[in-house]
Amino acid sequence: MQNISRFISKNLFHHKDLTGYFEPVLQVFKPSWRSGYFRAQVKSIRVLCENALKITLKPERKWPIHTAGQHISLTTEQQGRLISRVFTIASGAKKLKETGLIDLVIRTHDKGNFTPYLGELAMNSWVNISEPMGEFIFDEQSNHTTLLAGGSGITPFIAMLDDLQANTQNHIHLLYYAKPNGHLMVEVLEKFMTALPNFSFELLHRSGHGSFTKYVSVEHTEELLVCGPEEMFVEAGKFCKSRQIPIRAEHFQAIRPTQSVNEAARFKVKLNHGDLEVSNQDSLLSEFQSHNKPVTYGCGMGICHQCQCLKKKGIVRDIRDGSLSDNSEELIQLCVTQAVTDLELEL
Amino acid sequence: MKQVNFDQLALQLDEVKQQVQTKVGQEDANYIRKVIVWQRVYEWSGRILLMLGFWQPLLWVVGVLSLAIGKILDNMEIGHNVMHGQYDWMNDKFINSRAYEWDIACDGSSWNRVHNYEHHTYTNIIGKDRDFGYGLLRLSNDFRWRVKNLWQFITYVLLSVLFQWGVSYHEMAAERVFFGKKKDNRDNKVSHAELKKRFFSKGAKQLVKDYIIFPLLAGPLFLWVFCGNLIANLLRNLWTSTIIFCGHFTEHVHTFTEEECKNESKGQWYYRQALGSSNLKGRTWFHILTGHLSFQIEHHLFPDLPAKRYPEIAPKVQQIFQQHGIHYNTGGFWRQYGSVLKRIIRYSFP
Ligand code: FES
Repeated sequence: MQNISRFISKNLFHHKDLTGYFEPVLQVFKPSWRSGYFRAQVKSIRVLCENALKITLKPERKWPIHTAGQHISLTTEQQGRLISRVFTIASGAKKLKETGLIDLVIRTHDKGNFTPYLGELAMNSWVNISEPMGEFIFDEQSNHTTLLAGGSGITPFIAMLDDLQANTQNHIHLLYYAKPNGHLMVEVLEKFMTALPNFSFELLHRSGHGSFTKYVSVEHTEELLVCGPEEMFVEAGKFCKSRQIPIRAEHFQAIRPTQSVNEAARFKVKLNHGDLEVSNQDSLLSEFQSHNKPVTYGCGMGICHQCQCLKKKGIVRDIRDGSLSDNSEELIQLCVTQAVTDLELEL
Repeated sequence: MKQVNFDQLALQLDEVKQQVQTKVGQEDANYIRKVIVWQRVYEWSGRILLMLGFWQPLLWVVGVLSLAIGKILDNMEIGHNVMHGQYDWMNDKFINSRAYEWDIACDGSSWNRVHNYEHHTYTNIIGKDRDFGYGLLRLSNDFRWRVKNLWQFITYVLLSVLFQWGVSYHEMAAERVFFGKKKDNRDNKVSHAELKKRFFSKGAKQLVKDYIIFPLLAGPLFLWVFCGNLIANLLRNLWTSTIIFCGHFTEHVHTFTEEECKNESKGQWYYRQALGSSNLKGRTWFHILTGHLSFQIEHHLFPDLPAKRYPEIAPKVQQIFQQHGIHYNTGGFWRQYGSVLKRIIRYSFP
């Protein structure tokens, strides 16, 4: 059926699929309706602290029920531009079944391209979400689990604890690292402590408490679940390997320029046919040409769009005005951009 | 080239672009989606009304006009502009220069390659911009007069009637692909076999769609729909051809030699775009139907700026041109079109 619809669409409507042809029309009746996405309505936005928000969404009915610990890609239209970011759902499936709602707890970054605008989303406006993804889920069979969270990495654990039954036999201890006074949803954790007799938690911060390794009780840890920044993830990996503790981890690496654009540096570019290393001092087009990579181009001055390719990941700088791109998927022109981080491109 | 302070010109025009670019956003995204909605409305009302012609012939006439407007919008304000990359910043899966394909015989990617690169980079440089006269018409003394130029007005009329096919044939450099004519300094980024495949496959799709499938779907009203589609395509062809000719072949449009444009600076590039294009005055609906190519000068200066912004920047561009003594070639439709016809006729003769 899908093939027939594609065939009709390509031949009669000159579009890859029919939904694409009708999308702007459907959006008149269903705001933010987009082919390949689910819709969700913004039901509340609460400021948790200076730089964290809790957004409650009501996904459309056909959205598949998630398992606590999974994440979604959230897409919003900001100044006409669609931008997506991945967030772990901070509420359980139980809540979704009872109320139809899911929560996202989001750290906002003042200079970001995405999070600073989330607070401006209008009540009852529509955003797009992906289906729930990820394998980072709670193993109910294990008797002693240690949870290790860093910053906003608390969110999957909130969802997991939310779904646990009060009579669970599982002993769970949470080590939660954040900046002093930067711990999120502490009152929710306190409620869990009352509701779940075998749950306990400690609020820690790196400068005062040091590494998490001294707080993990090896004999009471059958499995370590980690969600936090890259360094925490690496340290936990080493620790578990040395103590032979099974580990499961979820981490999202924030990609940011590591040095000033004026400093010469080299970055890795992953292409659909082989990888290479490029300098940040020349345009990507010149770099590709000097590596003899087959690349289509025309004017070499940003006019003709012949050198355009899809950037899947990474940040580039526009040579013309010095502006930095977003980290997410977008089209870029190789002749007027330079690498600022490692990149993944589809030529 | 005339003595103009090219560096200052470049700075001033870059600033105009920068200023408007900071404003590009939600309004522009909403606009292009709105135009797409209206395009669908015109196209489908047209297709339905064509079938009601047996009941009331006037409805058929309205249907033809509605379908023609739908096709013009798809070709000009949507297709041309989206495929220029004017809306790539939206990150929309369908509204971007890579994904969009228009409802005309010319394959979008072939057009994109020739038009966006050759025409927009080398605008009016004789020998480099094949769009100047499309290899069919002699429109300046840069070309040697040949006997065939005597009847080039008829060639022009035929080209306008079959414009979508002319564009398709031209964009694939058919004289090279089909007849093996050689041209120096041209590397074939796409193989001839691939170009031929695209030409025939897109052309066939258009023919089958408008002249077989839709008429067949109408059953006994086959002919009503067949003729309606034919006339709608003809109207679209005439309209686009006329607007495009008015943008580049009016009386005062300049041509340039390769020599003149060697090692061109950004300011000189802007200057060439300015003198290689001409504008049309008109109302908002007129500009929309021309895909804002009625602001051909602004389009050539800033080809990937959303076209709906051209009216906003036109007064600033005009002022800058005035300051540098550059002619801002604009006028009403009939005046500009008259000068196009005059040019075609004038250069028919030695
Ligand atoms: S080569 Fe023309 S835009 Fe990059």
